[in-house]
Amino acid sequence: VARTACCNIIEFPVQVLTRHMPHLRDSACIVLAHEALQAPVIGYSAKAFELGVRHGMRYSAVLEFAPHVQAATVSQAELAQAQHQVQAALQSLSDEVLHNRDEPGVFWVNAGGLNLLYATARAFAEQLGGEISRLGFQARVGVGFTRFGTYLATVNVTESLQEDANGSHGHSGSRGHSAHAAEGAGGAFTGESSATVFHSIEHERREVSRCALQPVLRSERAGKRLRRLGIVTVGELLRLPRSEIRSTLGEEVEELYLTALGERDLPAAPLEEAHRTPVARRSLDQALAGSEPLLRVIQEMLNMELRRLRRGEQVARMRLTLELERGGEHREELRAAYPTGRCELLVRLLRLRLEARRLELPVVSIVLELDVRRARARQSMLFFEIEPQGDEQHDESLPADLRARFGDDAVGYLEPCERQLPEQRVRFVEQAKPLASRVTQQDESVQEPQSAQQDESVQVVRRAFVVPQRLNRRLLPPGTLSGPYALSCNWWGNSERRLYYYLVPESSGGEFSPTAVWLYYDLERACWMVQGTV
Amino acid sequence: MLCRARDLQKPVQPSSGYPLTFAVSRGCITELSGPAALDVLCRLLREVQQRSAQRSSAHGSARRGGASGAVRVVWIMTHQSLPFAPDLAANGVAVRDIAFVFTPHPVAAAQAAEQCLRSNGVDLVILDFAEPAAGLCATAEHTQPRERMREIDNAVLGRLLRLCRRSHAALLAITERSGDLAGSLVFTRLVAERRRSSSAADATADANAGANAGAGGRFVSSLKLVKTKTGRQNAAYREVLRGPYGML
Repeated sequence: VARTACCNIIEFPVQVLTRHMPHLRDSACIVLAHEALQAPVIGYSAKAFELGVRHGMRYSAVLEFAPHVQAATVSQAELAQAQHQVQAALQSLSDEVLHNRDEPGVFWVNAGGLNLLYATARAFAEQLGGEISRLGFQARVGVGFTRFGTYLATVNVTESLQEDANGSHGHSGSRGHSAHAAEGAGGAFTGESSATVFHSIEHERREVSRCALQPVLRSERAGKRLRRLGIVTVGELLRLPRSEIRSTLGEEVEELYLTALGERDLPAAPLEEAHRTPVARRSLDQALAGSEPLLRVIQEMLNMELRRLRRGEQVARMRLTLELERGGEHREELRAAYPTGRCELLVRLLRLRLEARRLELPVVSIVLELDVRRARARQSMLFFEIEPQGDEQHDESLPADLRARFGDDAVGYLEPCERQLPEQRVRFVEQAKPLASRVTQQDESVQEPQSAQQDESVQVVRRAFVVPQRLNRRLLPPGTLSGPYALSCNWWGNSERRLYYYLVPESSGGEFSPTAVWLYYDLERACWMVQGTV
Repeated sequence: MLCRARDLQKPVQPSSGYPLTFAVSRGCITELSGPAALDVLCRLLREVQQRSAQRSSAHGSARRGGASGAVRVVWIMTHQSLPFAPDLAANGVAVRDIAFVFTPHPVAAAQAAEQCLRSNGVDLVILDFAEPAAGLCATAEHTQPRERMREIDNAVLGRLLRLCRRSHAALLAITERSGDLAGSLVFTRLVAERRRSSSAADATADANAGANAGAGGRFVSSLKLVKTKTGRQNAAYREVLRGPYGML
């Protein structure tokens, strides 16, 4: 199993603030979501924590018991800039750096194959900590084997973890320590760096099972429910019967359970690259009609803009605004299959779109806006990855071409969902999910294909409308009705109660039966609906 | 004249004679109609996906960042009545690896098919024109796709056929009635029908098939070869199906 490291810059907003205002470092300060008395607290210093400040409290409530606390806001732009700085620093050590979308300041670094560069995992952890502290931040680093385990190691800094990290495997009162640390640790920022290293996957599992659950629970409600049952640590959660988790403790706890079990991992994504949007404008001497003359002008503009791109920059999106002769505008937005700097690829997309949309009036001015991003240089992939070439390059750009011609919603992939209503058991996604991130599904209905045992008996395949349609009963043919089969769900919200039937129309004399209708009676709305056909 | 060896390949008619396999369908246009069209299509989808998976693992395309890689099956639709994904999955089809394309009318669907085949990256293109429940809906738009389908003339079909041969892909049109996709360039016309299983022979076949006793009723599908340029005309191939839960 490849090693991974988690760098957690605890209370990231506060650290961003104190980096710019060092005089606040030793005072009780908080960061608010926005400048208002009712704004919630999104970060606090150690002194503020000691005064009783917690995440989510309103500023007005904080002033009640801590009137001298200093409050400030940190803009999203400042946070994003700081995140990019940290990412760039970490990328100097490993090319694969991912961040936690839900929690700014948490990064995972792929440490696989770095054992030849660093004598020990601890040396790598120290190097990571050093890179971050050079930027003026203090981070806790955990080196292990899963994102979940390493993240928990950074938020549950306990004596036992520290001892184990230093090589001695004695366990001393771990549960008490873990739970206690977690109480505070949603983690007040104390200005200290630390590193935890797991020597093996078994070591990580053993230590993680003693860690407190509270820092990884997003909703307060789930946390309360677990505490009421006396479940405080990961190990205690894992001792519960798997089949009962979802029904008794809810979806979030089940997700956490599967993550702790090792079947899933915490979601992580590469930080979105900073981008700039150069704009080219051209007023035409003569109004242009038809796609060909327009394309020639746009190609010329595009060529000029592409020549101005800096080294390593590529175009990910294009926005085209065409001003029409008698007022009014026509807008188009196009997205390439992958960021590119090749003019002919971008012009091909433009051609497909403009030929599909016939403009009624001539065009008098053109505004071309490009979404330019820096190409990601991944050194290690130079050795392993083969760039798509020839036919493969063509088929990767096929969805982009189809979207350019038939509209952005024209292409989609079906993603099975764990729901009750037939129309909700599938949803459309714009892009196919990568194989790597596919999780093991337990529900038979949302399974990947089951090939071997069911090859012999094929199941009848139904058709279902994306949205069930109201039935025109006058058009319903006479036939045999089988059912009803009751389906009831969402009783806690928008309740749905349906009686399902299959209607097999009378055969017109032949041996075979015509297409059956799959319909239901909606008890809530008192109407007949067509779900699909069989 | 020099040419590539692969360009000399011809569709091979296997001795088993089952007419809806990739070996038979590649490089030509096939029309599939009837109520059981989706049932018999699953076998072809599975075959194409297995073949693509083998090819991609051989070429090591899985290494490209773990992404699912190329789209090998494209399902082009002119309506909103989709195949029910859990049923496809139960038949061994990887639903997530099929790209669905929505087009407003049959002519646009043919254009989309042309674009897919030109990309050289698709093994199977399905043109889905069948919308059996459209007439029952109170709000159904009267698009009359059957009349619009006549606009797909021999010139369009000829282009598609040439592209199919060039890219060694299969083009399959699902229609409501056999002959809806007019033209002499349609290589094979198949009709898939279904009836409820009742006879003793069906029961035996059912037992041999090892069907799940807990599922819905039993059905027998019949795939009839209405038109073919190489095989045995009017040959029928039968298969036992199990119905969805609740369908007796």
